Amino acid sequence: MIPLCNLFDRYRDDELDPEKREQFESHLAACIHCQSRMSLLNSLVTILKQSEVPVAAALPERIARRAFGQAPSWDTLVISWLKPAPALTALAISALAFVSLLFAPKLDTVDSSAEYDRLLNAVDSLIIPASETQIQSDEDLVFWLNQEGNTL
Amino acid sequence: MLDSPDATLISDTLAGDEGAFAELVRRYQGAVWGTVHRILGNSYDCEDAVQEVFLRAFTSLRRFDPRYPFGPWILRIAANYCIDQLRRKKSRKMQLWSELREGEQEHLLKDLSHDGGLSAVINAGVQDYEKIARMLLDGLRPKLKAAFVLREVDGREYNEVAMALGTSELTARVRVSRARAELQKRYKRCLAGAGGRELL
Repeated sequence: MIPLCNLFDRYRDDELDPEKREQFESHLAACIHCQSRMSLLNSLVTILKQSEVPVAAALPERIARRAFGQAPSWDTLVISWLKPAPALTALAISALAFVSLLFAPKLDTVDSSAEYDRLLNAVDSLIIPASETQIQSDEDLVFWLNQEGNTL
Repeated sequence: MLDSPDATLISDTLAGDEGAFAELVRRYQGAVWGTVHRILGNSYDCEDAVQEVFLRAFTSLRRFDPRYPFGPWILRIAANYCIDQLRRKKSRKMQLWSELREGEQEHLLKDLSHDGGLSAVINAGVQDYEKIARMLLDGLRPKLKAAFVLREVDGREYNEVAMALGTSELTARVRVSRARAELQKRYKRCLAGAGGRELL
């Protein structure tokens, strides 16, 4: 294939400037490869354009009847309601919420831990009788403090 | 309803108006029918295919953005449908060709590369030439075939081809160019197979 053969597509698409066009036409007159391709494509297009089949009558009504008669499946229904823009927005919000959730427990944990430490220190300052052996959990401790009228 | 813009027909369809959808189908059935028939060929039931394209459009109608024209959207559904079908039914592609006798194959193939005499011959027996044209076209990969038909046979601009195929304009151009080159290669191969080596 010689370089001018590369202009084949642009010539066929009628996108060459007059100078290049003339150049290619001179080339086409001598290049069997391009001539053959051009003739083949022209023939194929002519044939395919001639082999039309008439559109069936009453097709629109049949299609519309079937479209409205069919019960869409639940997934089709869900998808059809999800317009791209709101869906993307929802996705972005979900992603943001997810990221926030990743951090939120950590922040809570830090706060809770600090609060818990403060309470433990306060409890340490109280004198709890040795007889109070029933205190085995935090709940027990809170219950005992309430009974004793202690507030921390 | 006949004068209603597409956007009105679409919103009426979504509101449950069957007649509005029928009118929308009526407006675009010609374009869809032509494209589907040219890409899939005679061995497929064109009516079923067109029906399926519009039913797909109907189920996705809520996702259609009415700020854009409906034509390229429905054409894209049609092109995708055709490409899916071609991928599924590759075995059909040689059926039409095998229906011709060997002598006929060579004779008809040679005619394809001679522009001058072709139109007269086609008028005498378009079905036989169509078998050959189909045989060559069916040898293309579905995406190349769709691009070729949209550009060369339907005469669409490259931006329309790109929209229908869901690609960039550059990709559409490359596909059409490859299809053209591929058709010539297949043609030469077939001609050699039919005993016509002397031609090319």
